[in-house]
Amino acid sequence: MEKTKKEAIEKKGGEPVTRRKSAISYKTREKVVLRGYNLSELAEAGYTFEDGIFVLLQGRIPMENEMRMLRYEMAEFIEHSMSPSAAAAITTMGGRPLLPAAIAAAIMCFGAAHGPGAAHGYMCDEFFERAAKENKKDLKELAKTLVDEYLRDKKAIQGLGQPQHIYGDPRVYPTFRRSQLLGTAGIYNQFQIEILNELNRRRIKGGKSLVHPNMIGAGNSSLMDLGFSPLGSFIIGSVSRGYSCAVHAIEQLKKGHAWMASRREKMIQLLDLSMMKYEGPPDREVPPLRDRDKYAQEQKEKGEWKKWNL
Amino acid sequence: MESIRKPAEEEAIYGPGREPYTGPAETVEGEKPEKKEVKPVEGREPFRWRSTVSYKTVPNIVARGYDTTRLVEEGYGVCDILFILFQSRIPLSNEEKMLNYLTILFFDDGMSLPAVSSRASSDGRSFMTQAIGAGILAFGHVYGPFQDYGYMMNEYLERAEKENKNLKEMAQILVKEYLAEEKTILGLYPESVQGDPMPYRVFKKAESLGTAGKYHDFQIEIQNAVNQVREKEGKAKLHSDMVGAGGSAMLDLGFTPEATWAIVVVTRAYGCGAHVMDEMEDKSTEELYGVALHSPEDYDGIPDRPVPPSKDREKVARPIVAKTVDDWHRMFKEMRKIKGSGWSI
Repeated sequence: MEKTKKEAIEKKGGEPVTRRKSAISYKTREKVVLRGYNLSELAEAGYTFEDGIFVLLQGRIPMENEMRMLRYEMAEFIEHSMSPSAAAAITTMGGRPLLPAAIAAAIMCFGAAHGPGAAHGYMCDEFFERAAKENKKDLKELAKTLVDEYLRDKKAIQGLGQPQHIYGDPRVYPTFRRSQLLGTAGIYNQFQIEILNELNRRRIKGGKSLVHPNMIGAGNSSLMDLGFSPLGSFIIGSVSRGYSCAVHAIEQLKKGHAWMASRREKMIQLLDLSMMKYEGPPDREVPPLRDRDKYAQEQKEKGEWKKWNL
Repeated sequence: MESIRKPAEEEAIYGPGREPYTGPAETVEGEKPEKKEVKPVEGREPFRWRSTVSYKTVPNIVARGYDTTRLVEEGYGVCDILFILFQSRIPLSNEEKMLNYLTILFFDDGMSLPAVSSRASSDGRSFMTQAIGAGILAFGHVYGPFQDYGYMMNEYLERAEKENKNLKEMAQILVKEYLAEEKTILGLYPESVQGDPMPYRVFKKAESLGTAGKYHDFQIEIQNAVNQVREKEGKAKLHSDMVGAGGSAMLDLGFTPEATWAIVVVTRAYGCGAHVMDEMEDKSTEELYGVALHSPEDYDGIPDRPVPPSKDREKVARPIVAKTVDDWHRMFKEMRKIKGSGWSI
């Protein structure tokens, strides 16, 4: 391997095969340098894991209260028991790949519905930009505009509602409170609360139950108030969960059965055949290949396939 | 089941005079295989997500028995929660400090394989989480093999106990066996890396915090045993790498090989995320993977050749199906010559 690499470098006239600029880090034989700081020195000077996250994603050492707020948030992000990401880690591990595959599957599970931190951040930023441009800087008014437009366009307002914690995610209000106590609550926190109030005013008028924020609403607002970009916040939220998903995957590896389909276990398995309920087209004969075009033409014209088309 | 193929086609596939295999007519129990409905076994509990790690209710999230909101309100941080999740215990302050120290070191490793994989994935403008996933998938048996390292350590430490050997003796046995089998001793840099002080700082930190234990000692004994052999052969010394120093420190903290690997991998995933944002902000990378960067002089495969008319396919093509071991061996040798076919790995 080493030889091949050397040969490739020589072939390119001494240039490395992949040469990329990076504003994040570099390494020499003596040190790894992250955003200008020697990583060993950073760790030995007594900075915390959470300080490291600020250095990594923002290139700065945070104030003590900022570090404390991030510490609070990341610790509460880590575990959320059975959510799509944990289920992805467990089921992926059922096939017995290498452990990182299960962790990657869990993290890749985060998207437009599960922990959409970036989407929430972009939604807020879009309205802040408009407010600056149109000189309408009252957050209450801005929240009203957002709710008007999102309800009119039937778009989901990011940061509200959780399918399991129907009376509000237990972490949400403590997170708002903690960021206020630590003095890190800013425009994102305030805007989130205004959106919540605006929507709930309308729901009360319409005789509907109250909506509560989810951890995107509370957590992402707090992260963005700490100076993390929408994507930076998304990284923190989704990767932090990776730790607990890894534990769930290891539990499946060590205590569960591979394939998750055994009929010898006392409890029905996730992939036990009896769990399947098929509701698609009924069993049908495979047409001879020579009759394919005739058969396919008839099938296409009948149009029943459209019922199953996904 | 009646074959839909013509007899000649059957023969081409299965060989002359051979009946296509259609599977056993009966199951082991002497029953006909069930074709349709699979009934649940009676007396079994319905499917539920079972976990020894955590549960949640409408108002609570509980990990290893602790309400997670209570934990953070009390001031426990990420590293404490990692001990709770993986080991089901609250760590001592010095243990938490050691893990904190290690996680900072695990954040990034410059333009390493995970960073490059994440950057390349993000150049397709994938989702952030996909790009991070791509970075994580770069960890394996060669890059950051913390799990394999842990298994190696555990195997020999167990043997030491069984065979009543001290750490020095067992390290010598490990080195002897690995060298005899030409296996890579995990946890050591190759000869080309002679000047990385980070692993030694990890050893020192673990010693000063009082978390250094038998894994730490064994790693140092392995390094010494290798270097004794190398000295006799007139070769340069080898030094512990971050798998050796960081891995042994994690194992001394009570993390299993799997947990160690998981924590390293996930911690690096934050770094991958930072690399992805850097890549996305750098507009000059937009044409990086374009045609211009993959010129013919970088191609060392089969030379350019004309595409044969499809009507001549039978003349040009050669069958690959091996029906005997000799056939297979010929095919195997031939296929190994084709770069990128995967046969020579």
